Amino acid sequence: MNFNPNRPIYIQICDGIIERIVRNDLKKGSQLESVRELAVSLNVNINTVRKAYNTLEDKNIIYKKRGIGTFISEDGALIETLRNELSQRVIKEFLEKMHAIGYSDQEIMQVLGEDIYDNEN
Amino acid sequence: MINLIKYEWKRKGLYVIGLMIIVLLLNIAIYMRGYNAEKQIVTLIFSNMGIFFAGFLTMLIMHIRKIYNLLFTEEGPFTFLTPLNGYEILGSNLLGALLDSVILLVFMGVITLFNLQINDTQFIEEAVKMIRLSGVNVYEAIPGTLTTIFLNYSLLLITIYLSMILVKTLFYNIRFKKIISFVVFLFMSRLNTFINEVFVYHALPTDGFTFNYLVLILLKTSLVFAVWYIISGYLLEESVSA
Amino acid sequence: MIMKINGLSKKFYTKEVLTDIDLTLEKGRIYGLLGPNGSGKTTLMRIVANIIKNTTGEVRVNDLLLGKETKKIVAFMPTSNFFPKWMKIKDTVDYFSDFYEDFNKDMCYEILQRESLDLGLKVKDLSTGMTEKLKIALTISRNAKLILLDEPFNGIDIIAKESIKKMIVQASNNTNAIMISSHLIDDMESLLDDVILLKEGRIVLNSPAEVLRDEKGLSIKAAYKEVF
Repeated sequence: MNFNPNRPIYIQICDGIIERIVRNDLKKGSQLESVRELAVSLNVNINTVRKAYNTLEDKNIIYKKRGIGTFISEDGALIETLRNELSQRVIKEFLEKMHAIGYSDQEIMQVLGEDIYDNEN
Repeated sequence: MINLIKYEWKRKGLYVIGLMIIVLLLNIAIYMRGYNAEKQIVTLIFSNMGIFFAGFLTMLIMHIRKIYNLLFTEEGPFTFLTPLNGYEILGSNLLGALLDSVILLVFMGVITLFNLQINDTQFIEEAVKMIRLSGVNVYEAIPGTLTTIFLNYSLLLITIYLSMILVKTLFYNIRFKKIISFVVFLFMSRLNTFINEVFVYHALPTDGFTFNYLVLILLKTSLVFAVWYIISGYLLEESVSA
Repeated sequence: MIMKINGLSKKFYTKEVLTDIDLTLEKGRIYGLLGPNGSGKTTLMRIVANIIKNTTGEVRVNDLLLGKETKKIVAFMPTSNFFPKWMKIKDTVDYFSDFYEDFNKDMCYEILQRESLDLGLKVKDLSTGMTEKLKIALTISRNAKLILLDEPFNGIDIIAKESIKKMIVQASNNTNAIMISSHLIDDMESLLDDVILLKEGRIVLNSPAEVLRDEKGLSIKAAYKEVF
């Protein structure tokens, strides 16, 4: 996995884990890799991964079961919130980029509608 | 420390055995030539003497190269990073060198003695007779002489080693350090000889060459050796600066 | 505290290659010693590894002054191929096993097998990449308190680099400190806890990498470019 070296890597790891949760690659209540396992598989410094886990833990997205491991939250509502947040971010980025190349909101709606229609057929 | 010697043998054990076999084969080849008695023994003696000198030179160069590699090439850290102090590293090198020289001398010596015996020369009997005549006990003279040879070879090596070590330690900041170290080597050799002369002048007993005298010479040489060794070990341990 | 350097300097002839070095390395962290060629990185590591002497200042490893005892707990991997040319890979493993008490032979065999380094190969027949992997395998199979890697990524292809990075991450634990020197920054971005920049023998920056990213939006590479 390639990280943007200009942004804190631990935040990018958090984002990565959140994405996996939202995509249902990591189901709620399932076990997450240990800090060390993830660090080794990503070739990332262990302390960085640890910080990412701590951050996620502070937000109650993951939790530690003493002596067993780290697990994804069972809280369905929380995961739904994450899903919304993520989609909001993606949409915001999309809109910014479209505006930057000169599309008005109306044009965006139109193009989107056509595209989705084409995709379905 | 003994471990380092083990690696010396891993490195060249096979070569040494191979060379020994070749020398034996060479000797056998001379016998097979069917020379007359006189030509045979002369050929044997001179060939083996040649082999001995070639072997000695090769060995000396090898022993110098070992320390050269240690101090001046990128192989050095391989040894220096290990938790051995300077004395141990130097000591194992010297011990290894000593072992080599013993093997060389004993191997060639046995072959020569064997050749002398087989060819019915009276060389050995004559030699023993002469030694007895000069009043020296043979059983003391031979080990004594051998020890002197090995001790002096060790002294030669430590003198060379010390001058090389100086380049890397005390002289590391000086220009022309290699020339200076060579000069130091000459100076140390002169010093060794000087101590010898002083000793001979003052200590030579009037009743001729005795065993006690031999022991004194050995002690003197050992002392000089020990001084150089301690200085070398200390420098190697404390002040490799470059 | 694994290593502490106070007021260290090193002079070769009249040139001072290291000046006023104060540095502390804590356990559980990976440090990057970065700087252009000739900035003194290798010299600093060789001093800590106790194969050359500093001119002034004091170095302590696990509160011990440099000497035989620190050599037991410091593992240094030099840039050059320091293997005696006659050795096979098996000989180098035996050597490390004989001389280093903390050497884990099984772990080393495992790594060598994983990297397809056959024990019977002669050291002089190895490619640059294979030599580097051998050096690293031997070095990290020691359970050293301080691991110093000098330019472990030089002349290595991309795939081998990933292997090496993985080995470094795996070697890191909460009882040791690792310091990597390199002038190839990109490879180290995700590896390093802390960044130490060495310019002409002086430390000009010493900061956790994530702090640089968090507070200044700088990658290690960007911070490096700012200084040099």
